[in-house]
Amino acid sequence: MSTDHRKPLMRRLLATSPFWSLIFWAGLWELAGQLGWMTLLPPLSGIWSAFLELLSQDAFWDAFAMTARTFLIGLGLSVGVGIPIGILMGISKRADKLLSVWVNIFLSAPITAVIPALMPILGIGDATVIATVVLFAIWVVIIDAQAGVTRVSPSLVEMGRVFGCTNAQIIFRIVIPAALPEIVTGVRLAVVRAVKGVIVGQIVIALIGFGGLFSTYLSMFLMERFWALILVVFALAFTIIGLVEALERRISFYAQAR
Amino acid sequence: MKASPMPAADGPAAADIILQTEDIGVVYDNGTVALNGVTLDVPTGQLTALLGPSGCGKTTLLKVIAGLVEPNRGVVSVHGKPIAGPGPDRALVFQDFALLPWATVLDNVSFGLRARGVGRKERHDTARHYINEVGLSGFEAKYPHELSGGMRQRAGLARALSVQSDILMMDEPFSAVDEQMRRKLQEDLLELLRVEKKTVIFVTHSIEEAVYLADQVVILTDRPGKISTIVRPDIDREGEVDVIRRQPRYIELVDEIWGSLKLYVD
Repeated sequence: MSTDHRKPLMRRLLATSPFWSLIFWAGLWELAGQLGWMTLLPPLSGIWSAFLELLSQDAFWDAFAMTARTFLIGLGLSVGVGIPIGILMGISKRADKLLSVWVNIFLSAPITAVIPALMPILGIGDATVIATVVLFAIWVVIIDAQAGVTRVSPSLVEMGRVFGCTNAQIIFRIVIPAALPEIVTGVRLAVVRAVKGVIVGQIVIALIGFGGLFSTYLSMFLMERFWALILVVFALAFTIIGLVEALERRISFYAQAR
Repeated sequence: MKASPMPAADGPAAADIILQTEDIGVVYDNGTVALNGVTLDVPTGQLTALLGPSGCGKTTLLKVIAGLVEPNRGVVSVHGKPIAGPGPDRALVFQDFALLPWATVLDNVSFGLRARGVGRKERHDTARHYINEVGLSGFEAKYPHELSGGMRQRAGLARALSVQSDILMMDEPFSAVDEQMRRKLQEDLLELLRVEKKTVIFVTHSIEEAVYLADQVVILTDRPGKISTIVRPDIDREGEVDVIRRQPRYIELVDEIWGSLKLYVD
């Protein structure tokens, strides 16, 4: 493995087992589609051309824009509200007592079951999807921010007090930077959950965005498009999660040095 | 305190007292008595060592003096005025260095000045001066994890010096470094204090360190948290710093203090 970095990119790619695994299953898929083993499973090549068709459709780009919008707003709210709440819970025992039970309940609760209850309140549109994203993503942000704050070395806080920092200076110059690796981990996990939330929200509502497209294609038996859309959603999710993980590695470089 | 050739005029009674603790009592939330009536005078410009076995409350006493722990009873006064929390007249060097891992040596050393609202240029100039003084020149842009334990503590010392407090407190400052480095740091500290006229209060569990460095050794015992004796090592510190350890008086004192502490170590 130590000589891997000297090989050209293609050779390295071929040496990885996920690559061959992908090729194998894609081949099997194509074969199954061509031979018509299952009526609802079209060959991959058909899905590829359906994908190219999708890209020229307004309905696809509308759904894409709606998904991106609700995802970003929901994630932004989760991070923007979740981090301060988590920090507050890490600093104040009272806030922790007041909130931690609820955070922990929602962290593991099946949020999907709540979406139908949201629809009558928030209507069928962006608001319900955004709420779903927040309900999926915010809890892990809170939990990780709190964990980060409670793990800050007490002597760093004492250091701040000895050198005359105000409470605000201690929070912004010591506690938050020290808790940053945990906060970033929380945000990364929130991105993963928000991706799930934005898709699940749309699917459960089934009338808007990708969810609307999924149900339209299914009801009209447009299986190539249906599968193309699924692969698009998968690819989007992996791309976003991959980006966040790369970002996290850059930010938490000092985490080991603490 | 037998055979002390030191003139009485240099004793704590006659010398200028910069800091006093009066009947300090600290009880932890779990009921443990950490300190029970500690009254102590700290003479200006001298080194006072708080020495004792672990659990005797010496670090708690230092934290009370630093203003980090509020005593259940008793008063700490600096220049005759009771303290209310930490203040610019006292700076602390931490046992675990307490350096910000995401900040460079320069930013760590100037941290205290920044908290006091000193401008960027001025605080960096001051920090550079003290970085140079503790022998860390050239490491200004390094991060703490790139430094050895000894160098990290030099940075912690530079940070405490750069706020120019009269009183420098040190909590087992050299206990997290190896023996050779500890000796070097002790010698460098003595050299440094010849330039910087500071009142130093430091906590240690090492008898040798206390006798080597201190003008006044306060021995605490854990029965519970009381001062048992105060010894004033009358050692000649005028010459080379590495000669001190060879003085017969140094060896004698270490033995004497060990004799009095032995009772409390089971």
